[in-house]
Amino acid sequence: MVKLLIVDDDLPTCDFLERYLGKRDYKVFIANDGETALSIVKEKQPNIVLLDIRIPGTSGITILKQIKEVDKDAKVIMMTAVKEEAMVELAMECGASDYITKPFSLEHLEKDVMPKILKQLL
Amino acid sequence: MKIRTKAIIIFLILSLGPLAIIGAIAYKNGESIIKRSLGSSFQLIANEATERFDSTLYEVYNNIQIWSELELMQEVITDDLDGKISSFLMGLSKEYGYFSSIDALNNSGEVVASSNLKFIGRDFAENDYYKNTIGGKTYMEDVHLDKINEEWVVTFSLPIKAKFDEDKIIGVLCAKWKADELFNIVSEFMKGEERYYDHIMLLRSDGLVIFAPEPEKEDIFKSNLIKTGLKSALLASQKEQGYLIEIDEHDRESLIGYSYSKGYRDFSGPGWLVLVIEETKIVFARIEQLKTIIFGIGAIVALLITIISIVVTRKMTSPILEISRIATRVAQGDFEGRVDYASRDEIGFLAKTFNQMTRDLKDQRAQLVDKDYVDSIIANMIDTLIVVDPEGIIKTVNQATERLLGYEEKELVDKPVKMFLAGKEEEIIFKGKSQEVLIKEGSIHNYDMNYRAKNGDIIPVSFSGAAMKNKKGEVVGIVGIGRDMREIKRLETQLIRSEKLAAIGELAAGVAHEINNPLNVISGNAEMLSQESHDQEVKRVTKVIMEQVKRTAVITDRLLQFSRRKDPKIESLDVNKIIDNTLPLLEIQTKYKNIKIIKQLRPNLPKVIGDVIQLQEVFFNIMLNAVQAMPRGGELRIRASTEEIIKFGRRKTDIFQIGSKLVVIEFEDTGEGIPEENLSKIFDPFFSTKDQGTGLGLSICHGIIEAHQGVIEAMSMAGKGTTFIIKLPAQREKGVHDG
Repeated sequence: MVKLLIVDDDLPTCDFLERYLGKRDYKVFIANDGETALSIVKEKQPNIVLLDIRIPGTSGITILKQIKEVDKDAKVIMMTAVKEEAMVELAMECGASDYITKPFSLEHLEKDVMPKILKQLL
Repeated sequence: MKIRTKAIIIFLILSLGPLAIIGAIAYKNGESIIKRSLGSSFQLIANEATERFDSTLYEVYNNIQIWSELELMQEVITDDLDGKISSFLMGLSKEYGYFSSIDALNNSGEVVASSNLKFIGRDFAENDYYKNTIGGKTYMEDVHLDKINEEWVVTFSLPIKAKFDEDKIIGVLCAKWKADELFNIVSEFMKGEERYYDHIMLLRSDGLVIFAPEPEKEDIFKSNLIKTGLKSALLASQKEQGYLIEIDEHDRESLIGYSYSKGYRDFSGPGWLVLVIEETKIVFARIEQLKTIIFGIGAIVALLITIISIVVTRKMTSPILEISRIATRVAQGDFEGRVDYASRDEIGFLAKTFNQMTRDLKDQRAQLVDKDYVDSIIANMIDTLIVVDPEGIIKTVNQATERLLGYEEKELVDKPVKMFLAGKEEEIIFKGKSQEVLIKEGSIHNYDMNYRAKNGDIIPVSFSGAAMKNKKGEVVGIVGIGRDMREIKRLETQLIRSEKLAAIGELAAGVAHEINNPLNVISGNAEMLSQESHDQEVKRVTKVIMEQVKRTAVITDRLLQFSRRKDPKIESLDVNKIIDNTLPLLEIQTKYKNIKIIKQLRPNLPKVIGDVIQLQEVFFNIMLNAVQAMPRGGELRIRASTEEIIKFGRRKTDIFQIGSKLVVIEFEDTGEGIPEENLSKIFDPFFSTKDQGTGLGLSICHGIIEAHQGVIEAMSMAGKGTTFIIKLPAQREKGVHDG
């Protein structure tokens, strides 16, 4: 079972993603801040991290770097509010595997984004 | 002619004229006096000469008379038998020497005694002297050639009277006086004092020359001067004496003094005529001398007068010439010269006045120069300047005012100030209470007001004014400076717009983020619901929800573009290519709406530097607007060309440097146009006249073009269409080669 960590300070977002992905063969962990996210990465070693690019207190990019330091094999998909291209580019340079822009369609997540990541995990 | 020359000429005419006249009169007088005195002296000499001849001949005559009365002479009766008379006569002849012969004749005319013995016994009874004398008269025959002695002689013949009877003539004593003796007499006479005549001539009473110098010249000696027409000889023969000037026997003009023999005592004299002659040329040499003296003195006097007149004239005219010279310099703009002449006469006064005048002129000129300078400053002021009199009448405007208002100076001057004031409020500055305040306060500063240009445009100005007072403190006008605030207002607007954009950007970034999370939740939940439900109604509703979420997302996306302070990518771009690539995106709409696209793109345009995506977005936006402005079809003209900034003038393009090259892209539609009141707002964010518009499109375009260091502007005529003009700096040619 693929372990998936959702990092977002927006609880409703975490909630609906957990509900949706939990129904589809993913062991879903939730973190609402960077600290929690890192401890989960250390303890549970999730295969995929869905990381919001804007996290209060610290930036998404920082968390990304820290995650990659802890587990460089973890595949990180950045979630951006809008097409913040500069941030996206920076994230990709820092080891992010892909990104999706909010509001995104679940269908797009499931059919386009995830399969590519899952392929990389094999 | 110079004043100095004139003065000298007048001086000389006035002095030399009289001098010449006096000289001439003196000469004439002198000449006539000299002539008269010389003539008189010549006459006197002639008289003296005749007296000498007379006295000499009288002496001879007297001697002969004495001899004739000698007792000895009684012997003629006896025919001088003892020869006493002859020996006596020979003795006399020897003693006196000037007798050719002395003869004693008896009363029958026979020579009885003679100084020359060979004549004794000869009979002269037929001779004139005998015939004349024997009657008892004394006879004298004037100079004649004695045929017997072949000598020129004067014959004296006296009767020898009987002692006892005075009336009885017993013989004749005849003495022939040698005419040669005349030479001696004349020589003796002429030996006298200084002689200023040439020669003396002695004429017989009939005019025959009996003595003349150079006796060898027979022609003159024997000639008859009365017959040859010598007037003096004729006059003398008529018993006159005097002098005259005539042509003498040698054909020379001469002064001739003439006289005649008058006899001496009882001696009637020979009746000779004496002429004292000298060539006028010589005798009047003194006149020539006089002439020379007069001329000499005249010349010296004239020279003195000339020198004096020159000196005096110079002295008098030099200050005038100096004034004239300095006046010339003044005329040429040199005011430094001063006339140095301190005399107390009129010229001195003139010099003083002239100096004062020059000083005044210099001061005034300096003021004039100052005035030019001030005029120039006023003319070249950037701000408008107006001077209004207390009645509100415009008195002065500068060039900036003319430029700003579009009036010419003459259209404004002497007109009421309200003609270019936009409202009543402005008018009161120049009138009524405000004016009183202004006068009291002295000035007002940076008062925002509006001018109205000739074409009706309202021009915002920042007005500062001051009351202009004369020396008495009376207000003679108001000087006002109005600064054109249009550019500042535009910049303010732009600044406000930029600030607005920035604020919106900040807001949008935050909002977008905050909104997107809930949107994401909404759309995610809706999507889940849709997937899990088989109810068609649920599927329809969730689809609407998801669509509207997307639409909201688009709005937030656009908003966010303001917050992206991202510089355009730097690339060398071909504007024509961008236009060509953008056009297909509009294809469907243009075809559908029957819109004709006309491209007028200059080939080989210079490249511009920028971001292709951003410029494409701008072009697309503008063309889309154009298409939407022509719902019933029309033409969209797209032009691309170049422009070079030669001088500043249009405010919009003044951001470019002079000499910079621009690429100009124009989009001209034939649509509805933009109402004038909206034209200034179209680039403002959220300004839209479309139902579905966000009001961000042109605002974004504006931002992009500004980020490209370019300008964008719109011109529109309601009902005719709108033209958008974009000007971008062309890439420098060097950059093309480098790139």
